[in-house]
Amino acid sequence: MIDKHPSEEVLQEFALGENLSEVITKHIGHCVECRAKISEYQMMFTKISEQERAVFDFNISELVLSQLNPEVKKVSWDRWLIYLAILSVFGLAGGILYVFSETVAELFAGFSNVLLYLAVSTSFIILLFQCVDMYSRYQRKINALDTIEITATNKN
Amino acid sequence: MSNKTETLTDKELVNKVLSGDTNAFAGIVKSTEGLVAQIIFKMIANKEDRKDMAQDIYLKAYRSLANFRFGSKLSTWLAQIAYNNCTDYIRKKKLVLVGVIFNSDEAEQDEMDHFHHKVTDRNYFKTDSVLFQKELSGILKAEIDKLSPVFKTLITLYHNEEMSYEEISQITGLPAGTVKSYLFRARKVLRDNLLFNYKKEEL
Repeated sequence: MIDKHPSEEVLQEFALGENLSEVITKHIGHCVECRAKISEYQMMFTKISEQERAVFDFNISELVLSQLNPEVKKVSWDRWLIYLAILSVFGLAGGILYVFSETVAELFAGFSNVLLYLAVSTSFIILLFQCVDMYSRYQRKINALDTIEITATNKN
Repeated sequence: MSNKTETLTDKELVNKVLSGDTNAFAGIVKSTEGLVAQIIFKMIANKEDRKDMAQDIYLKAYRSLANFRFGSKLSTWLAQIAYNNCTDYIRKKKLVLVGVIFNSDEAEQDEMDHFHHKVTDRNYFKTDSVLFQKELSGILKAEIDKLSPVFKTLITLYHNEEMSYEEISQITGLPAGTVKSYLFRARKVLRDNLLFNYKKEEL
């Protein structure tokens, strides 16, 4: 049997039906003060749950939809344009290499294959990183423009 | 329209919005505005600021929807945005975010302690009195309004929205243990203030 009263936290948990240990239940069974506290908490919890829910006194859906930027779709078109640009660059580079293949072969005649492959793959990787960097900078600028637009619309 | 969106999963709704369906986003707004309103009303006192805040929250959600990874329910994610925006607002205004507001000064606190020690008869909490029920609701509402924004929000999310400690922890970013501890404190303050004020009114 517990002589000491349970803490406020334990009483609250008991009132919520969360801590129903045998020891606590036994104490509460013969302690008028703790039973009264639990009863007060239970009543308070019931009253809190009955409190009126907050409701907007304006049509939030309409307000928000009227401010949605229909240009969101533009981003996906920009992405396709970028893919096209990259393909065009590679296509052009490939075309030039094909047309001038003999000249290019003469230029690199003195180099070993390993060196040649190393040079080409390094150049390719650097080009790839630059493209990724360009694209992420472009996206950041677009997002910044969106933020400015929305802030300006809200102020109006 | 709202019935149609209710049958869609969060993933289906998000995909529809990302493919440009603004009606799907309207459905998301309609299904979550109750929860968002609860948070805004508890965190922000000014009516005009509430309107601006609500718009900011949903516009932010719309812009960030592509980054939503379905780690939680869509409503929980939106509630998180609402809570974070509101706490930023409170910090900018340099208002009290967390903290317990007791009835008043030391003299009243002493009176309250004295009152507690004297209490033996708890009959004034009879549940069959209609007048008592009405008064208690009114006093309780006033006492909840006196709590700090975070305490008010936690009480509302737990008792009105019936969320678990873990869900509340996801929304507020507070550890579940801290949520539990704050709720204990807030409830104790509410109960103490209720007893004090109700007994005062009786006298």
